[in-house]
Amino acid sequence: MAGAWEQVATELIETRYGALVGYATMLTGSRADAEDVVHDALVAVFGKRRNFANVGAAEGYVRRAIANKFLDKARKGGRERLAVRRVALDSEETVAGPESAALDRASIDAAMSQLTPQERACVAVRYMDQLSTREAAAALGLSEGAVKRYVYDGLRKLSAAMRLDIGAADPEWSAVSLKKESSS
Amino acid sequence: MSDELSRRLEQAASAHGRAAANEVDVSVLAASVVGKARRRRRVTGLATVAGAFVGIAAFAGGSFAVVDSMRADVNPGTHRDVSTVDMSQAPTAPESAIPSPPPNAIIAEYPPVAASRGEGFPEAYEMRDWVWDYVSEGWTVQSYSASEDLSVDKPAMVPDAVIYLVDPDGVAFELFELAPEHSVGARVVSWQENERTAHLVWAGDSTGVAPGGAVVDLENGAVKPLVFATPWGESSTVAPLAVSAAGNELWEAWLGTHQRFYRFAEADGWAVASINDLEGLSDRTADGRWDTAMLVDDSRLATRPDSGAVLLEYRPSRNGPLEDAKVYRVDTDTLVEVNVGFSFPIGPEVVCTTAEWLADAALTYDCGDQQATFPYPAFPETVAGASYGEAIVADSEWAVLNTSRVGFREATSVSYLVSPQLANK
Repeated sequence: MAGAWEQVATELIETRYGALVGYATMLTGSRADAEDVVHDALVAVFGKRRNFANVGAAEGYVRRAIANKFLDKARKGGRERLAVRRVALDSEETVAGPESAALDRASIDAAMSQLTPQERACVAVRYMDQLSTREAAAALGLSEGAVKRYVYDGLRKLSAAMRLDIGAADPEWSAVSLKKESSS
Repeated sequence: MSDELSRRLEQAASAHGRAAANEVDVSVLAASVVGKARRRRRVTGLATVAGAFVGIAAFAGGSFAVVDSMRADVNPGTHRDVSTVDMSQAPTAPESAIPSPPPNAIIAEYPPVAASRGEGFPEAYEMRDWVWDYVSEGWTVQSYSASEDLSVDKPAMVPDAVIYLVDPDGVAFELFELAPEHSVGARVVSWQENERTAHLVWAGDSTGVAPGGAVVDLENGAVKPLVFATPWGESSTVAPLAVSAAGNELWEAWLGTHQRFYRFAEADGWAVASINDLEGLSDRTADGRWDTAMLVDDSRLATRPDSGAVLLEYRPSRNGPLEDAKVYRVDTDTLVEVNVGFSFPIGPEVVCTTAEWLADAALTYDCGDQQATFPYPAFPETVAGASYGEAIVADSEWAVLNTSRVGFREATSVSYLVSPQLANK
C-alpha cells in the first residue's frame, strides 16, 4: 500500500507536472533541461523523510528545489546544457493558440534569455512564486541584498526587452539601487 | 507593473507546461520518481540506523518523527494569532542521584567521553542529567553545523549539526544531533535557561528544505518548528530580530507579502508585538509605510548592538525621504520616538540610510556625503551581545561550516545574513 508521501508525489506529478516543467523552463530556457531539473527536484524532495499535508504544500517545496537545482547547476559551471537558449525559436515547443499569445510567450522567453541564471531565479521566485525578498533570499541561499540586486537588474533587462514599465514603480527594489548609488 | 510581469511570466510558463504535459506519460513518470525517492529514503534510513548503532546519531532517527508530530501541534486549524507552542508537555528533569551543587561548583568527575564527531566538532563528554545542576553564569549552548546542503553527499559518519552545552572552561557536553532538515546553517538564537529550551534557526537548501526556526528541548532534542497563525494564514518563514540579555525576543513572521512581529518573554511566552499597529508595517507592497530599518550596507537589520532595540522607519515610498523613526524596546514592548530633524537641506535624489547606533542614545544616518545624528530618549544599555553565527574557516572538505553560541543570560547579536558559506556559494 502506498504511503502518504507516495500518494502526494503521484498526485503532484499527475496534476502539476506541466506547471512544474513550465516553471522550470522559464529558468532554464530549454524544455529538455527543465524536465531534467524537475525530475531531479522531485526525487530530491520526495527522497527525504518528509511528509506533506497536501499537494499544494509539496508543490511549494518542489518549486523551490527546482530554482535551487537550476542555480546549483549554473553555479557549478561547465553545464553548457543549461546555457540559455531562445526557446521561442525552438519549433518542438510551439504550442497551438492565438497568435498574440504565442508572440507574447516568445517575447518573454527571449527577454528571460537576456538574464543571468541568478537573475532568472530571483525574478522567478519573486514574481512567479510570490516570495518576499527575505523568503527568496532564504530559499535560494543568497543574501537579501543579492536578491534585491538580481531582481533589480533582471527587471531592468526585462523592462527593456519587453517594453514594459516594470522597473520604476516596484517598491521592493528601486530604493536599493538608489541606496547603492548614493553610498558608493 | 509587477502584476503584469507576473501574469506574463505565468502565461509563458503555462504554455511551456501544456506542451510538456501533452508529451509525457505522467503515470510512468510518477512511478519512476516514487521508485527513486523510495530507494533514497531507504538509504537515508539505513545511514541513520548505522549512525545510531555506533552511538553517533542516537537522536537523529527519532527527530524526524518528532518534527512531523510537532508540526501538527503548531499548525492551528483556525487563524489564531500566536503559535501554539506548548512547553507544558516538556518532560521534567528526572531526579538526579547527585545532590544539587552550589552555584559555580566545579564538576569533580566527568561522564564518559562522547564518540568523536570528526574535524571541526569539539571533543565532548556524554551528557548526564546531573550536569544541568551545575549550569550557571558562564555556561553556553553552542551549535556546530557541517551541513551545507542536503543534496551534497557527505560521509554518513559526519553529523549534520550537533548541539552542545559548554561550561565556562570550554568543556563541552554533547546534547544531541539535529535532524538534517534543521541542520543547514543551524544557529542557536536564544536559551531559555529555566525551561531548558533554546530557539534556533536554520537556512533553506536546494532540496526544498524551507528555512525556519524552532523551539528545541535541550533535554531530549525534541524540535517544535515555530509557525505563527498570522491574520493572513500560517507563516512560511520566521526570523529573529533581537534577543535582549533579559531574555526577551522579537521575531518576524512572513507570509507572502505580509510580515508580522511577535515577542517572546520567558515568563509570558509568545505574544503579538506592539509594533504591528504601525501603519503599513505588515504590508510589503504598501507605498508609504513603516518598516524595519536596514544598515547602510543593506546587509543587516538595524538592531542595536546590545540586541535590546530595533529601529523602525517611516518613508512615503521605498526610495522616499526619511519622515519618521521609532526605536522599539524589546524588554518593554514599547516604542520611543526618534527626533528626526535635518540641519541641512536634503535633495530629492539623496536617500538617507541608517549608519550606526551611537552609545549615547543617538543614531547616525548617511545622507549622500553628509551625516545626520538623531537622538532618542535613553534607556539602559544592557550587555554586549554574544557572538552569533561565527564562521570557521577550515581546509577539510567536511569540516564544520558555522557555529553559534548563546551564553547564560546573555543577549544575542542577531544577523539576518544567511551563513557566509551559503551567501557566497
